[in-house]
Amino acid sequence: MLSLMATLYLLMVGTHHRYCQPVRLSPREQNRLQVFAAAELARRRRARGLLLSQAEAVALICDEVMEAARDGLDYAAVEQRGYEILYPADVLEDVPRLVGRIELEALFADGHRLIVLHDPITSGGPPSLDAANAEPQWLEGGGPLRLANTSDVPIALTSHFHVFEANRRLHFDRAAAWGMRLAVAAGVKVVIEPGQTREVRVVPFGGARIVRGHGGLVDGPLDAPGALEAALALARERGYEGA
Amino acid sequence: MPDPAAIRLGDSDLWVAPESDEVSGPDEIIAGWGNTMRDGLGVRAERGGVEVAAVGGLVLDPVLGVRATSIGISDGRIVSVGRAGNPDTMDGIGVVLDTGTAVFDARGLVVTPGGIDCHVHLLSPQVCDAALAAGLTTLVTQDFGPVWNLGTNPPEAEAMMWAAFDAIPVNLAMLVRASSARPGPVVHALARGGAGLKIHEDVGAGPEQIRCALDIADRHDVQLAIHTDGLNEALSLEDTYAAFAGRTVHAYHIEGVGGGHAPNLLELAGRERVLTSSTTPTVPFGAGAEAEHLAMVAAVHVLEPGSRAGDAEILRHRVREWTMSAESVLHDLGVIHMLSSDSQGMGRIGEVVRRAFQCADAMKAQAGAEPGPADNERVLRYLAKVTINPAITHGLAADVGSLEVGKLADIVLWAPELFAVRPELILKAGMPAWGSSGDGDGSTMMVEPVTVGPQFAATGSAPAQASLAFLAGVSLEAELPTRRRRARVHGCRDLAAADMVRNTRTGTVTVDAAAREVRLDGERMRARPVERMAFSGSYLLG
Repeated sequence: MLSLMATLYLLMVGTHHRYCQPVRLSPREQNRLQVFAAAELARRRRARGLLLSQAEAVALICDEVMEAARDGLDYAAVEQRGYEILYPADVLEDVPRLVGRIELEALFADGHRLIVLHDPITSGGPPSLDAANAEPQWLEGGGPLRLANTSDVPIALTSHFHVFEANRRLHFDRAAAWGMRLAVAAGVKVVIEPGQTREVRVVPFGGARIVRGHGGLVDGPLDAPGALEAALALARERGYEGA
Repeated sequence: MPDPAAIRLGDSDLWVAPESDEVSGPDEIIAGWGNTMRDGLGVRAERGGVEVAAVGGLVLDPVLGVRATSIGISDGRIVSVGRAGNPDTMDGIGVVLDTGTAVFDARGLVVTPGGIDCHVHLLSPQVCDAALAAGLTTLVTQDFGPVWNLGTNPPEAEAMMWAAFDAIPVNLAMLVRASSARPGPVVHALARGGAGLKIHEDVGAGPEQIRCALDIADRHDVQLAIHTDGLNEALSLEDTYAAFAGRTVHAYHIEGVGGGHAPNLLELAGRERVLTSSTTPTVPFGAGAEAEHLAMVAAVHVLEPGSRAGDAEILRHRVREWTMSAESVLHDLGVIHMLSSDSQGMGRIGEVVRRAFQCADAMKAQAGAEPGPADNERVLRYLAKVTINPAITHGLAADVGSLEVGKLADIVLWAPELFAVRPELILKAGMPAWGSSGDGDGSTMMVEPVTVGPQFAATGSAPAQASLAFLAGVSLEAELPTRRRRARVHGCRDLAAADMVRNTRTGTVTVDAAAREVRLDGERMRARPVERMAFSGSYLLG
């Protein structure tokens, strides 16, 4: 008897699951509806001839881009769509400036994809990534140094790295780079492609002139007697070119 | 012409320009791939740094001024202000970063102290969300839920509030009801978790209550916030002033529509020992202010102007467009010291910071720009009204109100274009308590919809760690259900207008109801109604 009831119960549950699937919205989907609600408010206001505010503009752009993906457009087309939804004449005076960057994710056939729009009301399209490997702006007072990449991978030097300790497959006058960093603004990188030789400019470190970390050749005060010689010896031992 | 280095705040015509720069230069600290915030590069490879740092922002502070600089934080307190970096390889480092330092990147952001609302009716917990979302980190409060109690009495309620607030990342100072002709009930509440006193005419603001409350305030070094007798039933303005007997008070909603001697409460402004605040709905004076207040006063104060005799008359005497018009000018001249909300009791808590800068912008348009750099002086004057001045007035200034070394690291980071509207991040004791973040399922932090909401210091048991319990000396050792660190309210009694940062002007304010005009030392005070506010319609959905 009991087992019959249990069987009936299991059948009922099974039936329920097969024919009655609740929607079970995830937090992400609820957020999607929030964007839609704000966008719909924006659309109605626009239809009444109003210029849009920051929140209205962002919501409307997001919603339209997400729907373009839903329509089956590919990534590039959807991204471009983001730049063609609103123009300065559609929004309040200050709004183009207030909508600088929008990050959103749309559901494509291959899943969610991040789209980042830059100044979508004024720029007309995504920024180009083809910026040439431009010569950095060198800080004043830097001395020259020629670096040759003898390896088969690109080597990127950054603004505050102790050049003396850079990758051992970079060939240059190591002693001349003692206590030096690239003469560039913080965050600027100089990339030396495999086989390439580049001339850079270097400036001395300031502060207490203590170098720790980096390539592991110093770990102490730069100006201590014998520090350079000891570091050069270690560099030679470890195969640093130009030491 | 704006200063070329100046930054525009929001969509307003307010500009700020750094008076010193301890950020830019070759040694800027930048987080991220291949940038300078790396071990042994921009951050020291040994200890010796601060625990937390807000690096590279434009600091607006009523005491420190406008500075491009960084802030170092240890144990929840500000320990250094200056150039951030690694002193081993960089010159002029004031905020030492090491590999153990947590860095909040404030580059491109405006950095202010957390705001202080010194007039909060805590009529619901939702008030706190609105406060945090608007950049407030310290609340001076009354009430404990939907009860018009005008003080956080009785001690059972104080205990409940301390227990509740361990989940809310704001510093709390509770005022107890001092509308009492006898000291017993007041001290009873003050000694069980209170931080100050409140007199309100709805529960009694006569001469005996005022004298009794000020005796207690003097004895325990706390402030008295007062809403005076708007009916002039027991006493007129000069009688109230006489009852102060030269002792310092904090006069709430000094324009008067929030309550107090009608029509001339504003005459208390400009006096040496009366510290004054406004509430948000009248500042700056807006086109719809009078109409809104006819509805608001009746709704909040249980009037029936259409049916009960006398209600229409007292309402008409209380709601005066011409004193509202004068109030904004008195703010601009630094005669009125503070701006507060009167949340849910005739004011909006999310507007405290915003209204201050809306008023600054409106008054720049009407009174003209002041000598530079940029609008720094005016911006800092208004910032002081919602940060350091309420802190000083209520005895909190040893811990909050500015970004000076030694204070709790309650810091608000704003994108300049969203300033006073949508904060980026609110640090509470140096930890992220509230801020802008995107969909939790996003591949970046800012996937839309980006909303302003709780961060980790607002979660679990972290809020109590990040927040202070402000208490009168008499209740500092009281048994209270809170894990917060306690801070003693002090320095409230010898205060005068000269102690109000950047808002020190005194003078004789006269209110002439027949002529419908307000004068300061004979000069007429009148602002035009603002038709379109900055920091508002360009942004908000509604």
